Amino acid sequence: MKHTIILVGADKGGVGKTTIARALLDFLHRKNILVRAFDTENPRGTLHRFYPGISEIIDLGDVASQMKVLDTLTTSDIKVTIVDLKAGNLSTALDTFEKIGVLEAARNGEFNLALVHVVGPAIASLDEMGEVAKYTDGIAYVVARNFINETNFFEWDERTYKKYFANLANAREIEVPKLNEMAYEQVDLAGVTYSNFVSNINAKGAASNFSFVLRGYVRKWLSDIDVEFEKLEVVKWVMDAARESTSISSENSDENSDDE
Amino acid sequence: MISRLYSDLLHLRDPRGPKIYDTDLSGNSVVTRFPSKTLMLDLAKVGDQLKLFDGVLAEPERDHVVDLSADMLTRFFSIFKEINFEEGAAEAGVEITIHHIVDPSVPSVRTALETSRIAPSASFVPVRNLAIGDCLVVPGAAEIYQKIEFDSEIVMPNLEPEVQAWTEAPDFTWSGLLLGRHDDIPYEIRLVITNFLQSIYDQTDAREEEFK
Repeated sequence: MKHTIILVGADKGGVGKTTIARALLDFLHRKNILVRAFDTENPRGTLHRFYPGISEIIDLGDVASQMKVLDTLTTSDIKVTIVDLKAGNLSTALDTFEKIGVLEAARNGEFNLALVHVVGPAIASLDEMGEVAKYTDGIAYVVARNFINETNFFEWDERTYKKYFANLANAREIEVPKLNEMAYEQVDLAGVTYSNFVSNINAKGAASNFSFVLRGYVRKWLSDIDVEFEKLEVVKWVMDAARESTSISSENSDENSDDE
Repeated sequence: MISRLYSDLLHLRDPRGPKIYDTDLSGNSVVTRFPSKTLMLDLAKVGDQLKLFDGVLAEPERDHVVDLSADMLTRFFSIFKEINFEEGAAEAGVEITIHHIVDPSVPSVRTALETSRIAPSASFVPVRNLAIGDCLVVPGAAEIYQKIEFDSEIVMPNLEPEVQAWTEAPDFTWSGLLLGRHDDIPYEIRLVITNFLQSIYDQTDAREEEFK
Protein backbone atom coordinates (compact mmCIF):
# COMPACT_ATOMS: atom_id res chain seq x y z
CA MET A 1 0.00 0.00 0.00
CA LYS A 2 1.41 3.33 -1.09
CA HIS A 3 1.75 5.95 1.64
CA THR A 4 -0.51 8.98 1.54
CA ILE A 5 0.38 12.33 3.03
CA ILE A 6 -2.36 14.90 3.46
CA LEU A 7 -1.23 18.44 4.22
CA VAL A 8 -3.81 20.76 5.73
CA GLY A 9 -2.85 24.39 5.58
CA ALA A 10 -3.72 28.02 5.05
CA ASP A 11 -1.71 31.18 4.73
CA LYS A 12 -4.15 33.03 6.90
CA GLY A 13 -4.82 32.18 10.54
CA GLY A 14 -8.27 31.63 12.00
CA VAL A 15 -9.85 30.02 8.96
CA GLY A 16 -10.57 26.73 10.72
CA LYS A 17 -7.60 24.77 9.45
CA THR A 18 -7.16 22.61 12.54
CA THR A 19 -10.91 22.08 12.73
CA ILE A 20 -10.81 20.56 9.26
CA ALA A 21 -7.72 18.49 10.08
CA ARG A 22 -9.60 17.18 13.13
CA ALA A 23 -12.69 16.46 11.07
CA LEU A 24 -10.61 14.58 8.52
CA LEU A 25 -8.89 12.54 11.22
CA ASP A 26 -12.26 11.82 12.73
CA PHE A 27 -13.63 10.71 9.37
CA LEU A 28 -10.72 8.34 8.72
CA HIS A 29 -10.92 6.93 12.24
CA ARG A 30 -14.58 6.16 11.79
CA LYS A 31 -13.64 4.35 8.59
CA ASN A 32 -11.16 2.29 10.64
CA ILE A 33 -8.17 3.72 8.81
CA LEU A 34 -5.04 4.11 10.90
CA VAL A 35 -3.57 7.57 10.65
CA ARG A 36 -0.60 9.33 12.18
CA ALA A 37 -0.64 13.08 12.52
CA PHE A 38 1.90 15.83 12.86
CA ASP A 39 1.00 19.14 14.36
CA THR A 40 3.30 21.94 13.32
CA GLU A 41 1.70 24.50 15.62
CA ASN A 42 4.74 24.18 17.84
CA PRO A 43 5.31 24.48 20.71
CA ARG A 44 1.66 24.36 21.82
CA GLY A 45 -0.07 22.13 19.30
CA THR A 46 -3.81 22.45 18.85
CA LEU A 47 -4.41 19.23 16.96
CA HIS A 48 -2.30 17.38 19.51
CA ARG A 49 -4.69 18.43 22.28
CA PHE A 50 -7.47 16.42 20.61
CA TYR A 51 -5.36 13.53 19.34
CA PRO A 52 -2.55 13.10 21.87
CA GLY A 53 -2.21 9.39 21.14
CA ILE A 54 -1.57 9.59 17.43
CA SER A 55 -0.09 13.02 16.90
CA GLU A 56 3.22 14.63 17.50
CA ILE A 57 4.18 18.28 17.64
CA ILE A 58 6.99 19.15 15.27
CA ASP A 59 8.74 22.16 13.81
CA LEU A 60 8.66 21.68 10.07
CA GLY A 61 11.54 24.16 9.63
CA ASP A 62 13.73 21.79 11.59
CA VAL A 63 15.50 19.08 9.60
CA ALA A 64 15.03 16.43 12.29
CA SER A 65 11.28 17.05 12.17
CA GLN A 66 11.24 16.82 8.37
CA MET A 67 13.02 13.46 8.68
CA LYS A 68 10.45 12.30 11.22
CA VAL A 69 7.68 12.85 8.70
CA LEU A 70 9.35 11.94 5.44
CA ASP A 71 12.04 9.39 6.18
CA THR A 72 9.54 7.15 7.95
CA LEU A 73 7.14 6.86 5.04
CA THR A 74 8.42 3.51 3.90
CA THR A 75 9.03 2.07 7.34
CA SER A 76 5.87 3.13 9.14
CA ASP A 77 3.08 0.56 9.41
CA ILE A 78 0.61 3.40 9.34
CA LYS A 79 0.16 4.42 5.74
CA VAL A 80 -1.70 7.68 6.11
CA THR A 81 -0.09 10.83 7.48
CA ILE A 82 -1.88 14.08 8.14
CA VAL A 83 0.23 17.18 8.64
CA ASP A 84 -1.52 20.19 10.11
CA LEU A 85 0.58 23.08 8.87
CA LYS A 86 1.13 26.04 11.14
CA ALA A 87 -1.13 29.01 10.39
CA GLY A 88 0.40 31.36 7.86
CA ASN A 89 3.03 28.79 6.98
CA LEU A 90 1.54 27.13 3.92
CA SER A 91 3.67 28.76 1.22
CA THR A 92 6.84 28.36 3.30
CA ALA A 93 6.12 24.69 3.91
CA LEU A 94 5.41 24.04 0.22
CA ASP A 95 8.57 25.90 -0.70
CA THR A 96 10.57 23.72 1.69
CA PHE A 97 8.95 20.57 0.30
CA GLU A 98 9.75 21.68 -3.23
CA LYS A 99 13.40 22.33 -2.31
CA ILE A 100 13.97 19.01 -0.61
CA GLY A 101 12.26 17.09 -3.41
CA VAL A 102 9.10 16.00 -1.63
CA LEU A 103 6.77 17.38 -4.27
CA GLU A 104 8.89 15.87 -7.03
CA ALA A 105 8.82 12.46 -5.36
CA ALA A 106 5.04 12.67 -5.10
CA ARG A 107 4.81 13.64 -8.77
CA ASN A 108 6.93 10.60 -9.57
CA GLY A 109 4.43 8.42 -7.74
CA GLU A 110 6.61 7.42 -4.79
CA PHE A 111 3.71 8.30 -2.49
CA ASN A 112 0.38 10.09 -2.70
CA LEU A 113 0.38 13.71 -1.67
CA ALA A 114 -2.64 15.91 -1.16
CA LEU A 115 -2.98 19.47 -0.04
CA VAL A 116 -6.17 20.60 1.64
CA HIS A 117 -6.06 24.36 1.40
CA VAL A 118 -8.49 25.92 3.82
CA VAL A 119 -9.80 29.26 2.68
CA GLY A 120 -11.79 31.72 4.70
CA PRO A 121 -14.18 34.43 3.60
CA ALA A 122 -11.56 37.15 3.11
CA ILE A 123 -10.50 38.29 -0.36
CA ALA A 124 -6.89 37.51 0.61
CA SER A 125 -7.80 33.82 0.36
CA LEU A 126 -8.26 34.17 -3.40
CA ASP A 127 -4.73 35.55 -3.78
CA GLU A 128 -3.46 32.71 -1.60
CA MET A 129 -4.90 30.20 -4.04
CA GLY A 130 -3.01 31.87 -6.86
CA GLU A 131 0.26 31.72 -4.92
CA VAL A 132 -0.14 28.09 -3.95
CA ALA A 133 -1.04 27.03 -7.51
CA LYS A 134 2.60 26.88 -8.62
CA TYR A 135 3.25 23.99 -6.21
CA THR A 136 0.18 21.92 -6.89
CA ASP A 137 1.05 20.40 -10.22
CA GLY A 138 0.91 16.63 -9.92
CA ILE A 139 -0.55 16.53 -6.42
CA ALA A 140 -4.14 16.36 -5.25
CA TYR A 141 -5.14 19.91 -4.50
CA VAL A 142 -8.33 20.55 -2.53
CA VAL A 143 -9.75 23.95 -1.78
CA ALA A 144 -11.83 23.72 1.39
CA ARG A 145 -14.25 26.59 1.71
CA ASN A 146 -14.90 26.82 5.36
CA PHE A 147 -18.18 28.07 6.74
CA ILE A 148 -17.59 26.72 10.24
CA ASN A 149 -16.80 29.71 12.36
CA GLU A 150 -17.84 32.61 10.21
CA THR A 151 -21.30 33.97 10.39
CA ASN A 152 -20.81 36.44 7.56
CA PHE A 153 -21.02 35.52 3.91
CA PHE A 154 -17.95 35.16 1.82
CA GLU A 155 -16.68 38.60 0.87
CA TRP A 156 -15.81 37.57 -2.63
CA ASP A 157 -18.20 37.40 -5.45
CA GLU A 158 -18.99 33.81 -6.45
CA ARG A 159 -18.13 34.55 -10.10
CA THR A 160 -14.73 35.94 -9.13
CA TYR A 161 -14.06 32.82 -7.07
CA LYS A 162 -15.09 30.56 -9.93
CA LYS A 163 -12.69 32.44 -12.19
CA TYR A 164 -9.82 31.92 -9.74
CA PHE A 165 -10.81 28.32 -9.23
CA ALA A 166 -10.94 27.64 -12.97
CA ASN A 167 -7.30 28.69 -13.26
CA LEU A 168 -6.19 26.03 -10.80
CA ALA A 169 -5.21 22.87 -12.58
CA ASN A 170 -6.62 19.65 -11.07
CA ALA A 171 -8.15 21.44 -8.07
CA ARG A 172 -11.16 19.99 -6.27
CA GLU A 173 -13.27 21.85 -3.80
CA ILE A 174 -15.28 20.98 -0.76
CA GLU A 175 -17.54 23.10 1.34
CA VAL A 176 -17.23 22.68 5.07
CA PRO A 177 -20.68 23.30 6.50
CA LYS A 178 -21.29 25.57 9.43
CA LEU A 179 -21.31 23.97 12.83
CA ASN A 180 -23.48 25.54 15.47
CA GLU A 181 -21.21 27.88 17.43
CA MET A 182 -22.18 26.66 20.86
CA ALA A 183 -21.60 23.06 19.80
CA TYR A 184 -18.22 24.02 18.36
CA GLU A 185 -17.21 25.74 21.59
CA GLN A 186 -18.34 22.84 23.74
CA VAL A 187 -16.31 20.30 21.77
CA ASP A 188 -13.36 22.63 22.01
CA LEU A 189 -13.77 23.07 25.75
CA ALA A 190 -14.16 19.35 26.27
CA GLY A 191 -10.93 18.70 24.35
CA VAL A 192 -12.34 15.56 22.75
CA THR A 193 -12.74 14.32 19.21
CA TYR A 194 -16.00 15.06 17.45
CA SER A 195 -16.93 11.39 17.49
CA ASN A 196 -16.30 11.09 21.20
CA PHE A 197 -18.38 14.18 21.82
CA VAL A 198 -21.24 12.61 19.88
CA SER A 199 -20.75 9.36 21.81
CA ASN A 200 -20.72 11.32 25.08
CA ILE A 201 -17.20 10.30 26.04
CA ASN A 202 -14.88 12.71 27.82
CA ALA A 203 -11.15 13.26 27.32
CA LYS A 204 -10.36 10.54 29.86
CA GLY A 205 -12.45 8.02 27.96
CA ALA A 206 -15.22 7.98 30.55
CA ALA A 207 -18.94 8.55 30.05
CA SER A 208 -19.74 12.23 30.06
CA ASN A 209 -22.74 14.48 30.29
CA PHE A 210 -22.59 16.56 27.14
CA SER A 211 -25.76 18.21 25.92
CA PHE A 212 -27.90 15.94 23.77
CA VAL A 213 -28.83 18.91 21.62
CA LEU A 214 -25.22 19.89 20.97
CA ARG A 215 -24.23 16.28 20.37
CA GLY A 216 -27.05 16.13 17.84
CA TYR A 217 -25.76 19.19 16.03
CA VAL A 218 -22.23 17.74 15.90
CA ARG A 219 -23.56 14.37 14.68
CA LYS A 220 -25.43 16.08 11.85
CA TRP A 221 -22.41 18.23 10.98
CA LEU A 222 -20.15 15.18 10.85
CA SER A 223 -22.55 13.42 8.54
CA ASP A 224 -22.66 16.48 6.25
CA ILE A 225 -18.89 16.85 6.19
CA ASP A 226 -18.49 13.12 5.53
CA VAL A 227 -20.37 13.62 2.28
CA GLU A 228 -17.85 16.30 1.31
CA PHE A 229 -14.83 14.17 2.23
CA GLU A 230 -16.18 11.21 0.31
CA LYS A 231 -16.09 13.30 -2.86
CA LEU A 232 -12.31 13.61 -2.64
CA GLU A 233 -9.92 11.63 -4.74
CA VAL A 234 -7.38 11.46 -1.94
CA VAL A 235 -9.92 9.96 0.40
CA LYS A 236 -10.84 7.42 -2.27
CA TRP A 237 -7.15 6.46 -2.58
CA VAL A 238 -6.90 5.90 1.13
CA MET A 239 -10.15 4.00 1.35
CA ASP A 240 -9.36 1.81 -1.66
CA ALA A 241 -5.91 1.07 -0.31
CA ALA A 242 -7.36 0.21 3.09
CA ARG A 243 -9.90 -2.10 1.45
CA GLU A 244 -7.14 -3.72 -0.60
CA SER A 245 -4.94 -4.33 2.40
CA THR A 246 -7.91 -5.73 4.33
CA SER A 247 -8.75 -8.16 1.55
CA ILE A 248 -5.07 -9.15 1.16
CA SER A 249 -4.74 -9.79 4.87
CA SER A 250 -7.95 -11.82 4.92
CA GLU A 251 -6.73 -13.84 1.90
CA ASN A 252 -3.47 -14.46 3.74
CA SER A 253 -5.26 -15.54 6.84
CA ASP A 254 -7.45 -17.88 4.72
CA GLU A 255 -4.29 -19.38 3.22
CA ASN A 256 -2.78 -19.77 6.65
CA SER A 257 -5.86 -21.53 7.92
CA ASP A 258 -5.78 -23.82 4.85
CA ASP A 259 -2.16 -24.66 5.70
CA GLU A 260 -3.22 -25.55 9.18
CA MET B 1 -56.36 25.10 25.56
CA ILE B 2 -55.20 21.51 25.22
CA SER B 3 -51.77 22.26 26.72
CA ARG B 4 -53.40 24.11 29.57
CA LEU B 5 -55.78 21.22 30.12
CA TYR B 6 -52.99 18.63 30.16
CA SER B 7 -50.69 20.79 32.28
CA ASP B 8 -53.50 21.08 34.77
CA LEU B 9 -54.65 17.47 34.81
CA LEU B 10 -51.11 16.12 35.07
CA HIS B 11 -51.03 17.64 38.57
CA LEU B 12 -53.32 14.79 39.55
CA ARG B 13 -50.63 12.28 38.66
CA ASP B 14 -47.67 14.15 40.13
CA PRO B 15 -48.27 16.93 42.67
CA ARG B 16 -45.21 18.74 41.34
CA GLY B 17 -47.06 19.07 38.06
CA PRO B 18 -45.37 18.85 34.68
CA LYS B 19 -42.54 21.03 33.52
CA ILE B 20 -44.07 23.36 30.97
CA TYR B 21 -42.31 24.93 28.02
CA ASP B 22 -44.02 27.75 26.20
CA THR B 23 -42.83 29.01 22.85
CA ASP B 24 -45.51 31.64 22.45
CA LEU B 25 -43.51 34.72 23.36
CA SER B 26 -46.59 36.92 23.33
CA GLY B 27 -47.09 35.68 26.89
CA ASN B 28 -50.78 35.18 26.24
CA SER B 29 -50.71 31.41 26.56
CA VAL B 30 -50.18 28.59 29.03
CA VAL B 31 -47.68 30.69 30.98
CA THR B 32 -50.49 32.87 32.28
CA ARG B 33 -51.89 29.84 34.13
CA PHE B 34 -48.66 28.32 35.39
CA PRO B 35 -46.17 31.17 35.58
CA SER B 36 -43.91 29.50 38.13
CA LYS B 37 -43.76 26.20 36.28
CA THR B 38 -43.38 27.51 32.76
CA LEU B 39 -40.17 28.22 30.90
CA MET B 40 -40.58 30.74 28.12
CA LEU B 41 -38.46 29.67 25.18
CA ASP B 42 -37.24 31.24 22.00
CA LEU B 43 -36.24 28.24 19.93
CA ALA B 44 -34.11 30.41 17.67
CA LYS B 45 -31.68 30.51 20.60
CA VAL B 46 -29.53 27.44 21.10
CA GLY B 47 -29.49 28.05 24.84
CA ASP B 48 -33.27 27.73 24.89
CA GLN B 49 -33.11 24.58 22.76
CA LEU B 50 -30.88 23.10 25.45
CA LYS B 51 -33.35 24.10 28.17
CA LEU B 52 -36.09 22.26 26.34
CA PHE B 53 -34.58 19.11 24.86
CA ASP B 54 -31.84 18.54 27.43
CA GLY B 55 -34.32 19.52 30.13
CA VAL B 56 -36.70 16.76 29.09
CA LEU B 57 -33.96 14.15 28.94
CA ALA B 58 -32.58 15.22 32.30
CA GLU B 59 -35.87 14.35 34.01
CA PRO B 60 -37.32 11.43 32.08
CA GLU B 61 -39.49 10.33 34.98
CA ARG B 62 -41.35 13.61 34.97
CA ASP B 63 -44.11 14.87 32.70
CA HIS B 64 -43.26 17.66 30.30
CA VAL B 65 -45.69 19.73 28.30
CA VAL B 66 -44.44 21.73 25.34
CA ASP B 67 -46.82 24.38 24.07
CA LEU B 68 -45.78 25.06 20.51
CA SER B 69 -47.02 28.20 18.88
CA ALA B 70 -47.92 27.79 15.18
CA ASP B 71 -44.94 29.88 14.07
CA MET B 72 -42.54 27.64 15.99
CA LEU B 73 -43.84 24.34 14.68
CA THR B 74 -41.48 24.10 11.71
CA ARG B 75 -38.45 25.21 13.70
CA PHE B 76 -39.24 22.83 16.57
CA PHE B 77 -39.52 19.79 14.34
CA SER B 78 -36.50 20.82 12.30
CA ILE B 79 -34.40 20.80 15.50
CA PHE B 80 -36.19 17.66 16.68
CA LYS B 81 -35.09 15.85 13.52
CA GLU B 82 -31.62 17.36 13.25
CA ILE B 83 -30.59 16.29 16.75
CA ASN B 84 -32.47 13.00 16.42
CA PHE B 85 -34.43 13.67 19.57
CA GLU B 86 -36.67 10.70 18.91
CA GLU B 87 -33.74 8.34 19.50
CA GLY B 88 -32.54 10.26 22.55
CA ALA B 89 -36.00 10.17 24.06
CA ALA B 90 -36.31 6.43 23.43
CA GLU B 91 -32.95 5.80 25.10
CA ALA B 92 -33.96 7.88 28.10
CA GLY B 93 -37.33 6.15 28.34
CA VAL B 94 -39.32 9.25 27.44
CA GLU B 95 -42.55 8.64 25.56
CA ILE B 96 -43.56 11.36 23.17
CA THR B 97 -47.13 12.24 22.35
CA ILE B 98 -47.86 14.92 19.79
CA HIS B 99 -51.23 16.58 20.12
CA HIS B 100 -51.84 18.50 16.96
CA ILE B 101 -54.72 20.96 16.90
CA VAL B 102 -56.36 20.73 13.49
CA ASP B 103 -58.17 23.78 12.20
CA PRO B 104 -61.01 23.37 9.69
CA SER B 105 -58.77 24.18 6.73
CA VAL B 106 -56.82 22.23 4.13
CA PRO B 107 -53.39 23.75 5.05
CA SER B 108 -53.91 22.89 8.71
CA VAL B 109 -54.81 19.27 7.97
CA ARG B 110 -51.90 19.02 5.56
CA THR B 111 -49.53 20.27 8.28
CA ALA B 112 -51.01 17.69 10.64
CA LEU B 113 -50.35 14.95 8.08
CA GLU B 114 -46.73 16.07 7.63
CA THR B 115 -46.21 16.33 11.38
CA SER B 116 -47.65 12.87 11.92
CA ARG B 117 -44.87 11.44 9.76
CA ILE B 118 -41.98 13.13 11.54
CA ALA B 119 -41.58 10.84 14.51
CA PRO B 120 -42.80 7.30 13.83
CA SER B 121 -42.24 6.17 17.40
CA ALA B 122 -44.24 9.05 18.89
CA SER B 123 -47.95 8.84 19.46
CA PHE B 124 -49.76 11.23 17.21
CA VAL B 125 -53.09 12.57 18.37
CA PRO B 126 -54.94 15.01 16.15
CA VAL B 127 -57.24 17.27 18.11
CA ARG B 128 -60.35 18.61 16.45
CA ASN B 129 -61.70 21.48 18.46
CA LEU B 130 -65.33 21.82 17.50
CA ALA B 131 -65.36 25.32 18.96
CA ILE B 132 -63.39 26.45 15.93
CA GLY B 133 -65.05 24.11 13.45
CA ASP B 134 -64.53 20.60 12.15
CA CYS B 135 -62.10 19.90 9.33
CA LEU B 136 -64.11 16.84 8.34
CA VAL B 137 -66.76 19.05 6.78
CA VAL B 138 -64.27 21.08 4.77
CA PRO B 139 -63.95 19.90 1.14
CA GLY B 140 -60.50 18.45 0.55
CA ALA B 141 -59.51 18.52 4.22
CA ALA B 142 -61.40 15.38 5.18
CA GLU B 143 -59.60 13.35 2.48
CA ILE B 144 -56.23 14.44 3.78
CA TYR B 145 -57.32 13.78 7.35
CA GLN B 146 -58.08 10.17 6.42
CA LYS B 147 -54.43 9.71 5.45
CA ILE B 148 -53.19 10.60 8.91
CA GLU B 149 -52.09 7.55 10.84
CA PHE B 150 -52.96 8.34 14.41
CA ASP B 151 -53.03 6.35 17.61
CA SER B 152 -56.07 8.14 18.90
CA GLU B 153 -57.87 11.37 18.19
CA ILE B 154 -59.58 13.87 20.40
CA VAL B 155 -62.69 15.72 19.41
CA MET B 156 -63.19 18.57 21.81
CA PRO B 157 -66.88 19.37 22.23
CA ASN B 158 -67.95 22.93 21.87
CA LEU B 159 -68.37 24.70 25.19
CA GLU B 160 -71.02 27.37 25.40
CA PRO B 161 -69.59 30.86 26.02
CA GLU B 162 -71.08 30.95 29.50
CA VAL B 163 -69.37 27.67 30.43
CA GLN B 164 -66.17 28.74 28.70
CA ALA B 165 -66.15 31.89 30.83
CA TRP B 166 -66.09 29.82 34.01
CA THR B 167 -63.14 27.79 32.78
CA GLU B 168 -61.31 30.98 31.90
CA ALA B 169 -61.68 32.37 35.42
CA PRO B 170 -58.26 33.04 37.00
CA ASP B 171 -58.79 30.67 39.92
CA PHE B 172 -60.33 27.84 37.89
CA THR B 173 -58.44 24.59 37.47
CA TRP B 174 -59.67 21.44 35.77
CA SER B 175 -58.00 19.32 38.41
CA GLY B 176 -59.65 21.42 41.11
CA LEU B 177 -63.03 20.69 39.59
CA LEU B 178 -62.36 16.95 39.66
CA LEU B 179 -61.22 17.24 43.27
CA GLY B 180 -64.43 19.02 44.21
CA ARG B 181 -62.86 22.39 44.90
CA HIS B 182 -65.18 24.46 42.74
CA ASP B 183 -68.45 24.38 44.60
CA ASP B 184 -68.77 28.08 43.80
CA ILE B 185 -69.58 27.13 40.19
CA PRO B 186 -73.28 26.41 39.57
CA TYR B 187 -74.08 22.72 39.52
CA GLU B 188 -75.31 22.74 35.88
CA ILE B 189 -72.10 24.37 34.72
CA ARG B 190 -69.98 21.93 36.69
CA LEU B 191 -71.91 19.12 35.06
CA VAL B 192 -71.21 20.45 31.57
CA ILE B 193 -67.52 20.89 32.34
CA THR B 194 -67.32 17.43 33.85
CA ASN B 195 -68.99 15.95 30.78
CA PHE B 196 -66.52 17.84 28.65
CA LEU B 197 -63.64 16.27 30.59
CA GLN B 198 -65.31 12.87 30.51
CA SER B 199 -65.58 13.13 26.74
CA ILE B 200 -61.84 13.83 26.39
CA TYR B 201 -61.07 11.11 28.92
CA ASP B 202 -63.07 8.57 26.95
CA GLN B 203 -61.14 9.37 23.81
CA THR B 204 -57.76 9.00 25.47
CA ASP B 205 -56.07 5.95 24.08
CA ALA B 206 -55.76 2.85 26.22
CA ARG B 207 -51.98 3.22 26.06
CA GLU B 208 -52.34 6.31 28.19
CA GLU B 209 -53.85 4.28 30.98
CA GLU B 210 -51.43 5.74 33.48
CA PHE B 211 -52.55 9.22 32.60
CA LYS B 212 -56.14 8.15 33.08
